[in-house]
Amino acid sequence: MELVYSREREQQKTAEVDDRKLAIRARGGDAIAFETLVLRKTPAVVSVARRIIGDAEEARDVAQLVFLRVWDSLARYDEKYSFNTWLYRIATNLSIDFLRANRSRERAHGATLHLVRRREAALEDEATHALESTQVAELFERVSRDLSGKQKAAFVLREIEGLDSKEVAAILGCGESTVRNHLFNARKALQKKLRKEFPGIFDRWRRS
Amino acid sequence: MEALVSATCPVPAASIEAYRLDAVPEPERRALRAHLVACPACRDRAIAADPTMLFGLAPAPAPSSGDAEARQILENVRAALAVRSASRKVERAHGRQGWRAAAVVAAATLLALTSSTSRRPRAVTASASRAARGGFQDAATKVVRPGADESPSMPSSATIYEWNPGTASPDDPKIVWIVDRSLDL
Repeated sequence: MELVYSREREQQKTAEVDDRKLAIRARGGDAIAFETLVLRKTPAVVSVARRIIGDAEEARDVAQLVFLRVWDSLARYDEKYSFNTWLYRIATNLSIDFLRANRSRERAHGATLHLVRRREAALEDEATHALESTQVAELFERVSRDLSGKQKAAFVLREIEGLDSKEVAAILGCGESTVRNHLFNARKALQKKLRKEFPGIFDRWRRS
Repeated sequence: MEALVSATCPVPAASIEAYRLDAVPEPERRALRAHLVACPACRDRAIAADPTMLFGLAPAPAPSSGDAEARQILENVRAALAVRSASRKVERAHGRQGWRAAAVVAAATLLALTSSTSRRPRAVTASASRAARGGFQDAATKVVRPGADESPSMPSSATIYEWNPGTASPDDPKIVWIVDRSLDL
């Protein structure tokens, strides 16, 4: 009990330390610093993974993998760069990998098709009414299914998480012009899908 | 024609359009985004211009259990790291024992070859010799501690696999494989 209490007290002490310093301490083997980072960054990591993968439960699984990867790779973390960018990069890459694997599984089994159709119908009914944030997330999951991993990640990081384009480029490991390209294509594909499958949403704001 | 500003908000339509086209530089973009999220009139105008803006401007869904979710993930990460650390220790121990076992086998093989060619007494039981006559045998046999002939590297308890391809001549070299069972995990 004492051990748990001390650990929590240590975590409270490190709560004010910035991410970069914590990462440097974690790199030196400080488990408390690493755990503080896990607690601090879980919401952001789960949020990005959830947007890219489209499933909350699977996003939590990926988040665990992200932190394990962070622990393994801390020796390679260069403090000249933002810890957030580095973390997002790991989270985005693992989410894209997961998405790819999931898509191949779905293609192989043709599974969950009827469930998807039932959910589509429910969304269409709701589309003409005010959308709750969870419904917006579901709608995004539905219409973004055909985007490539990079397009989806670029859209999520830039438009939903609100990161600046330089940071998105660093996370995706490409140039800013490529990010703009991914965003343009993602937006076009999403608009097309929304018009085709959820015209109610489109019309609602057209009329407003 | 679209109004330049909404009735309830002074943000001009041109700013919303610039945001949509990703033409607003960074500090202003962040401020404008915060406004679009908070102001229903501007948000609706932005979404009317481009429905994909809905995804970026809708308030983010709250994490299902907030801090509890982070604590759960931390517990799982801790458990995974602990399991991995334990597995590595076992692997390392296994690796060391593997080398030790290989050294014992090499030493024992050399010893057996030397013993056989010099007609010194063999350090195996009769049942092992019987098994050996059939070629490569999985003959579980305890080593008889050979007293003065004992090599310091010989294990106290071992299984001997003996290979003797059909010859019974005592002059033929014997090849034996000794596995120290005390090294098994």
